[in-house]
Amino acid sequence: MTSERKRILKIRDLRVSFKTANGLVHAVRGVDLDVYRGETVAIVGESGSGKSVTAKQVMGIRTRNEVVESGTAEFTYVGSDGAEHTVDLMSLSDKEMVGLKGNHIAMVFQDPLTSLDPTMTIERQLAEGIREHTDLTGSDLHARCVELLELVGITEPEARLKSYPHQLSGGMRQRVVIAIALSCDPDLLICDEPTTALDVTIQARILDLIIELQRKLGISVIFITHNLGVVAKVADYVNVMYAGKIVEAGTTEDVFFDPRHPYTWGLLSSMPSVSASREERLFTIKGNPPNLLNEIVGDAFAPRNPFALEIDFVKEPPRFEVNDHHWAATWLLDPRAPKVEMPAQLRSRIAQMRQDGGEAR
Amino acid sequence: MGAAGVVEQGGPLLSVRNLRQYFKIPGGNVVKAVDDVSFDIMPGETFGLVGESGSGKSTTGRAVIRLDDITSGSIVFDGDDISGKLSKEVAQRLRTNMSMVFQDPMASLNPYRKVIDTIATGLDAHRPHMDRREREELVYQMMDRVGLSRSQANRYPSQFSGGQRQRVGLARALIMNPKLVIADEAISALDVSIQAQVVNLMRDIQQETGAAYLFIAHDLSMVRYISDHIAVMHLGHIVESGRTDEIFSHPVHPYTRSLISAIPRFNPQVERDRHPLVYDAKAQGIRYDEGSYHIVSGTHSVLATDQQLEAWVD
Repeated sequence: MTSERKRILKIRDLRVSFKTANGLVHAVRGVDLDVYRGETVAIVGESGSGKSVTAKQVMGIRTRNEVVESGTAEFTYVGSDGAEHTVDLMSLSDKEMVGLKGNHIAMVFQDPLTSLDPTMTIERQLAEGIREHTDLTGSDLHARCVELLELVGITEPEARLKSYPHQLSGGMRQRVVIAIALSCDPDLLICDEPTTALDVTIQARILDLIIELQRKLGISVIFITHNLGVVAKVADYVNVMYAGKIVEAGTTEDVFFDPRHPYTWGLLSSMPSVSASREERLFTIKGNPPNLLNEIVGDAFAPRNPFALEIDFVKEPPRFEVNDHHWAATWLLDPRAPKVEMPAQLRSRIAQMRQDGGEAR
Repeated sequence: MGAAGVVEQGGPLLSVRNLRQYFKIPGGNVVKAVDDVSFDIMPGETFGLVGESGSGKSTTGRAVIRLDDITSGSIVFDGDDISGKLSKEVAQRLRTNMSMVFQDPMASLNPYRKVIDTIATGLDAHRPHMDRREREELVYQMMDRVGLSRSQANRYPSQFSGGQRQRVGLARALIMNPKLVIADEAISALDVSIQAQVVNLMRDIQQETGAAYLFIAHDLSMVRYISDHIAVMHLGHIVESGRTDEIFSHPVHPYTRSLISAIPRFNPQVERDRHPLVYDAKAQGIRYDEGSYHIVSGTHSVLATDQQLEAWVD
């Protein structure tokens, strides 16, 4: 990590709701997020926690029943004139957004089969974005397509360019989607569960590819996932999201080795680890996530939280800083709160991890 | 032949031998989805069947419960041969003693039926003249057991969360007190915190009722946690099988090794620089039809040729 970190995305107080037949669903309830150049920021949470909705705001992807109640998303980029620009993505028109999409911000979705057009060859789909944003034509354009497929590790790129999506395997399709996303040298790549639909062995290789490309091209990545193992592999920073809010944020080391929010404790403990004893019961978070149709009073996690204090049901916890790059929104960190330790099972697991990590080094 | 339900001491509950399931596809080709698969499941144990998509693990599960007519091979369940045409009696025994839980609880529950009726499906089919109050009571007991409240009995699937729906599916599968439950990716569609809830529940129920599970999944870490025995499938073949600890502490087949190495570790310091093993049967010159099963130790067996085995065990 460089000493001079440059912020390229600054989201503040983002609130997004959806109009439904049953009323307003408050999907995102005040999210702040920072992304720095060349770093990978993970947003981790369960389905319905609002992680995808947050990321889609950056791309300007909204459904018709979506209401943005408040929020700014300042994006800093170097334009074609060589000067640095900062724009608020939330207030851009669709037309202005098109100029940024692909060129500066790109996105990779979960299912590669639905993000590719089944009726078009790989070359046509790959060339589409490049044509939009550059002057390349003819053999130059073709050469760029070949170069991109090589970049994402596809062998025989010439032959593959003539293929249709259904002729490729799932892992290969996702490589093509990544190639399309990278075709115009974006500064920021948003990966929304890019490996969830793939087999575990393929998943590992796609993750390796994303890490390699990120290091090679120096881009920033927002990585959305529900899988903490994936987070451990790719992320520099982690944001844990629950019920439309970020409840804990910090470096990957902070969150994995020194988690402070009870929800993070629960998430980390409920994963079956490869080394844990098979005899002990899996830790579970009791109950279900709250219905975001209802107004949430206090800490949204309180009803499921065995360590909840009385105040958790009354007043929303503010952020408590653990150090200058790690905070958690839980009253347990208030100096007046009783001292609560993380579950013993998790503590021993973290101790084991520290030992393994030390050996690996 | 022994009477139904009487299993000899130590004998398997389910015994599958040389199971083949081929599908004809347009153009005169045949897909060998399952090709010469054999395994045993003991009463009360959990047998994990793992592999990537297309490995034939779900097809094996569907063949065992006779959703598809098998191409060849023998399946003996609880003393009954269930591989051919089923007699009425045998079909009756099979349908009450073996049941299935599917991956997507939304797709496998009828949205227009109240969950009380969904859970009672087995009772209605096999004991149609049951007293209404008795039927209700049995459903309520089952709902208690899977952690649903009785007040939810008259609701519809859409009013439940994903984890609760999977509990309904589990209750439906368990209502006849089956000896074997086939769980086909039963937890893959659920969120992590809910997965743990359902897995713990399945383990508790197994301890109470002594049911055996055929647990089909692609997530090795969960399979390791729940299974006593594991069989690893690839391209229609079981490439390695054995007790869970044998497979995880001494994986022999390169495919098994690659699967185990692909499980993400929850340790950023280790995970960042770890590169999982890559397995490519063609490139490594491994042809499954050339190999035969070799016993490595105890119940641990591997599909390999003699030379391959020598190279893999070092």
